[in-house]
Amino acid sequence: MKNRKINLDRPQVDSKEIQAGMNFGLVMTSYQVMSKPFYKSNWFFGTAGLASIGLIVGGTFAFQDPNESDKLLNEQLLSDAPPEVSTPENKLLAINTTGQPAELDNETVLTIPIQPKHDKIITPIDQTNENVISEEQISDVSEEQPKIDLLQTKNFSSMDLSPRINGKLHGDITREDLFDNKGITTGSDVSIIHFELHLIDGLGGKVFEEESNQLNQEMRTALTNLTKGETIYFENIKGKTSDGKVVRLNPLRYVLLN
Amino acid sequence: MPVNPIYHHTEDRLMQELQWIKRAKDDPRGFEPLYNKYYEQIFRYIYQRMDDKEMAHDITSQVFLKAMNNIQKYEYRGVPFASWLYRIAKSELYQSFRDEKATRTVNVDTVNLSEMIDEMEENFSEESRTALLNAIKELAEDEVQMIELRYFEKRSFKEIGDILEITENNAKVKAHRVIQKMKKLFNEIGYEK
Repeated sequence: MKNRKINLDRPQVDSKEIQAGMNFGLVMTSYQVMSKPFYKSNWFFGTAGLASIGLIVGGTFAFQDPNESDKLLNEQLLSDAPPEVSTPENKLLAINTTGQPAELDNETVLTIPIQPKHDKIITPIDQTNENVISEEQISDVSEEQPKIDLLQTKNFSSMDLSPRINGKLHGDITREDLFDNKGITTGSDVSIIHFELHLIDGLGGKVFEEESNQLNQEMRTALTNLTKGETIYFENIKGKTSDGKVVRLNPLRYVLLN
Repeated sequence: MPVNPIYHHTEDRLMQELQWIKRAKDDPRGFEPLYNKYYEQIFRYIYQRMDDKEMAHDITSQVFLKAMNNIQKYEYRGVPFASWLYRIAKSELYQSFRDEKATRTVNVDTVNLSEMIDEMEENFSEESRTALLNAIKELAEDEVQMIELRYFEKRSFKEIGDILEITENNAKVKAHRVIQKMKKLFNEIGYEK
């Protein structure tokens, strides 16, 4: 840059003249015009980025198939099953929800049906009674005898063992339904031989026992004295199968409607 | 050579300046004390190198605007804030020369020329003054800068080092080399032109 001009003894500028040219307000205005708008700042990008991630994550969960979690739960339940239940080498029980015998590697094992509402569970009530099947007996049989024999003799899957009154399994019930002449019945050939009526009033609980499927007079009187909205419990219900075996059935619970 | 008292601060003044800088980083309006303190220095530095007063004011404002925009990047390194402003001013000044908005001008005082001639161990006369001006025309830009800072603006080597981003010793060495070169030019071509 040699095309420079040389000034000799140029008059000095006065300080006041320089200060007269000062204008911080103008610089400030220019600064505000030049300063970055919010959408170009790091704050904007940070906030927008976080919001986007939140939307993606939220959207993923919101639009997920609700059955997916049920499937996962089922898979987990199956995987959590103890090895002696599902492994055919151990020759023990395999459980499915259809009540059909399970085929595992061409080997048939004993299948006990499991109902989701637990209203078909068979529970032995008397360990000394020869007619009642205990879990130990089932295990012994399954270990000692070919399983196919047991399956042929015990077809539990066709039984509806849920007790009911006038067709009602639970929930609200009218006095008319309650005093129905059929008493407590099941959907199968299991006949009710024993039940208890539990009533809870202000003085505490009261239990009535009956060795049939019909309400006795004492029970009817107690039920007649109940008021609308009270809860009625039928507990310790025992039934007898056609081949003479005693089984314990699910309890019943109703709310009096009138 | 007396030093520039505005540039060479005491520790207390440096700390006060740091407070202003911190405030300016939080709020641009906090820059005002720095603007008021250094405007004249920066204006004089710019106007010393050009001929247009209005343009000098414009460039000075541009320097402060740039400083405000970049104040977040400023790091205190134990030197006055002015050195940072001088570096921005130098950059803006040479940009205006490249854009041909202003003409590069070297403003020389006769008093300063006589001091230079003394340093070159020559006798001051009308001829020697002309020879020196001719020699200045032949110098490279960075050499002219050194002459301006050291002999025309009477800045210390420390300050020159801060402005040119070199060490104090390096500034001394460069200044010495420029004087030697001028001596040579003075004798070779100075009297011819």
